[in-house]
Amino acid sequence: MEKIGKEELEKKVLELVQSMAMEGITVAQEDFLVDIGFNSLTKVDLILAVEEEFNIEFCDEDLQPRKLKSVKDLISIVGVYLSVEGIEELKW
Amino acid sequence: MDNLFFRLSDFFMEETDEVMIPESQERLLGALCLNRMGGIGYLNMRRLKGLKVSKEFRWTMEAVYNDNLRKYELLLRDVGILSEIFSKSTFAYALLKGAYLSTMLYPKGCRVSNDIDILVQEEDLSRCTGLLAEGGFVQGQYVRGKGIIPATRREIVMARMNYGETVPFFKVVDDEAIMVDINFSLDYKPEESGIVRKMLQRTRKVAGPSGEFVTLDRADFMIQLCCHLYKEATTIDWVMTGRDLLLYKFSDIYVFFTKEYQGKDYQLLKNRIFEYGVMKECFYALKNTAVVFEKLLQNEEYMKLLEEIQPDNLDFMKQIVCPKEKQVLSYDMEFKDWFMQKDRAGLLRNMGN
Repeated sequence: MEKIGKEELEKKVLELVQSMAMEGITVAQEDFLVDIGFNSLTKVDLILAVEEEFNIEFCDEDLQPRKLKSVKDLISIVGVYLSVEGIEELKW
Repeated sequence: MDNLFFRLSDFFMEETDEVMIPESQERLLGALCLNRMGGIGYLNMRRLKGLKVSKEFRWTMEAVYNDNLRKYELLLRDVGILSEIFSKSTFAYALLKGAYLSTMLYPKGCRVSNDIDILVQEEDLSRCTGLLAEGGFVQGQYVRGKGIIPATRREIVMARMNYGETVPFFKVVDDEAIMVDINFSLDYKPEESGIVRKMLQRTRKVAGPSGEFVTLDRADFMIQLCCHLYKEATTIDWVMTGRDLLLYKFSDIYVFFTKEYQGKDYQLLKNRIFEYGVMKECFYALKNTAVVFEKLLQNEEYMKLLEEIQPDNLDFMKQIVCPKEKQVLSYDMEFKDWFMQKDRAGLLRNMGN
């Protein structure tokens, strides 16, 4: 995958989440996935879609509900995998 | 039948000429096999001269024991293979439960293990799975005759995200599968507590019949057995499938304590239980083990330990949790009666959220 910048990454992730979120909601980075209609099953769908979109595979350590609570968490984890400048790894 | 079942399952059973007639041979045989007590039961059966059972009963028990012996040899092989693979590890790990109990605590054929459990810290999961993959293991399921069916990416993500587990790893050697299960938390205890990290700092190397391997130190081993038993005995999913109270788990605690704490100071175990904050889990497991294996009631150190770790409120002793529904159910009968019930799930009543 070509190198992408922070803004493009945020835009792409937001678009992807928006396409899978509850209808009638405008998704923001700060949103918690549970608040925009994701349950334990659709969260798995979202992770698989993100992996496909960015051609990455989440490592076992990142596949934890507490690490993937919000859209921002998702952006941050993908950003670290893709070495996107300006994205910092979340501390747990 | 109940008393005979517990008696035949007692690893430390005394020889007797007493005449014993099971109420139902079928039930006794089924109970021994389903509780994985066939090996001990077979050896005890041969020492009970007054046990009145049919030839067919004896043949079946012998077949179970012989199969246990075959599985014992396979386990030795598997522990050897795993030890070799993990000798290259750059992270802390320990083999749990069967790898030690079946090969070092019990004589061969007394206990069967279907898999090998490994404990690692969650932060080392990728390194652990990487090492297994390098050693030829594949995540998925094994079907005899078809081989290993690799897990889909969805299954792997689903197991991690929704059950906090990893899909088991398999490798086939000489037509026999080795199954490895990775554990990274003490049941019910969030790893923020740091228990696994502490346990993995205290591991010991033991020399088994298949060579050296790393396992938990004595006190941690006991605590892990207790917490594991408590989790399965008190969670609705296990109750529903009848896997909540299998006698071999109680036997493990009974035999481990009796053999490994013989004349040894139990204070360290008590201190460790308090350090980890697992008084409830350990009390449940130890207390109920003494209910089904009554010889423990004569073990002074065991009873002293129980007294010292006993929580003030004992309501949890008869409660079953439904994690998904966030509900607590309870039952109202003595533990031994509860153990022998055929449909435990049907006897539970709701206690609210």
